[in-house]
Amino acid sequence: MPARVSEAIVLQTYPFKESDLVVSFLTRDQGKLRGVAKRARRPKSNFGSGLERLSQVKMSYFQRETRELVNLDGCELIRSQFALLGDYGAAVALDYLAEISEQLLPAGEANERYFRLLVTVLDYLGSGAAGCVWRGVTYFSLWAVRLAGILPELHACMGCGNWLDNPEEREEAFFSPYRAGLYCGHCRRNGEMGRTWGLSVTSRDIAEEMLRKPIAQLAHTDWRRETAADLRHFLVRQIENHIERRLITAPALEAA
Amino acid sequence: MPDFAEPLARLINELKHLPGVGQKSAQRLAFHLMRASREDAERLSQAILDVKDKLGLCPVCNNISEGDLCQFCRDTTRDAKVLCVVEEPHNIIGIETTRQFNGLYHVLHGALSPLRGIGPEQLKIKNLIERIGAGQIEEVILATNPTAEGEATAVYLSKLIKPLGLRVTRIAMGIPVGSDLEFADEVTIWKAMEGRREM
Repeated sequence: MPARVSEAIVLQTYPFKESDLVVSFLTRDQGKLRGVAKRARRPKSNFGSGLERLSQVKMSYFQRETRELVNLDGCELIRSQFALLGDYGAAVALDYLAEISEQLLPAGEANERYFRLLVTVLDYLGSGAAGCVWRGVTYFSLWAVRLAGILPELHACMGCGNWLDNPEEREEAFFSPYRAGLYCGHCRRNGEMGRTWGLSVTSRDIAEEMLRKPIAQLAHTDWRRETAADLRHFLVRQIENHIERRLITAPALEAA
Repeated sequence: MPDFAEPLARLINELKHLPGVGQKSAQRLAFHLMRASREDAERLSQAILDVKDKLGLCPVCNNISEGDLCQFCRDTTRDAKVLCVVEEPHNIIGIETTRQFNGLYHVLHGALSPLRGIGPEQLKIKNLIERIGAGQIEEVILATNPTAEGEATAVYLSKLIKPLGLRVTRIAMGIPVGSDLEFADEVTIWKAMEGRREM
């Protein structure tokens, strides 16, 4: 295949040989790819700071059909996340976004909506609004789970099918690491669900709003670490069940 | 893989575990060692064993040391008021080649990277804080790499150290000597402008 130039977001890099890097990056048009960036760790490399985590770049690369790794020729930086690193919480949030993208996305399958989600959330984190890290991370987790097709019904009990959001009696929902979806209190008591965690009515309302509105148009509320923490926990569980491994950045994020 | 004699195959297999060495390189090295004299092979194997047996970590700065303290912590002519924090022991070599720094070092043995499972507990931060708490140090230079991980580590450390009342500085980032502004990206130029100095 010929040389390509794609708009891309760098997800992760791994040291390779003396001064090279293996780079995992998400392109708008080709999906997630991996490539070798020769001499990228040298001070005068063609890549500059473009290969830092979650940098948005125009990546030039050469792809051969018989090889899994593409050859990276260079990149032109569109937007760097370096300015966010002054806040340790934001730095960990960037790792979290990169890990989820790396784990959820299949290689070589274009996913323009996911790409736009990542760009939107990075823009939002860059705005530096109060509580933007927690709101951004929650919004990203919810939409990543939805775009991966693994978001369960948030309004009905998976056990008995009852409506959890009955206007007369809205109730807390529950989830378990061993079962998919949400359950009502009755099913939780009667079913053998093992350990369970609650998902509050407020958090389900937040999820509902996030699914309807762009992140910049969400109602202005005071977001803290505790806000919708149960929703983030629920979403992380959905992702972990899907990828069949634990996310290493999720506990670091909650502890940051 | 062709069938080599068992000792040769074993050597190739061991060499393949080294970073950056694949099957072909391992074969080339193994054949070179096979053709080398017995004395050369013994010197190499003894050097490897000496590294494992005689080297340890300096209990003060975590640098690699032969004996109790490393050469920098033993050196009484060095300025004990200035401490330079680096990620890895080999970063010290780069700073020492400049002959411009005469303070002491502290090696973290990595940088914060939640993506790689490295948090503050995995780094040698605890004894850095204890060392600062001893009261002799007046300035801490954060010389972690100019990468996302290195910058996050520097920010994290500065937030820990600054409340202790010390001067905390970060090494400058910017255009490499001998390169051209035309080819530098926006982050590099931004950092260079940010770190500009009075002339």
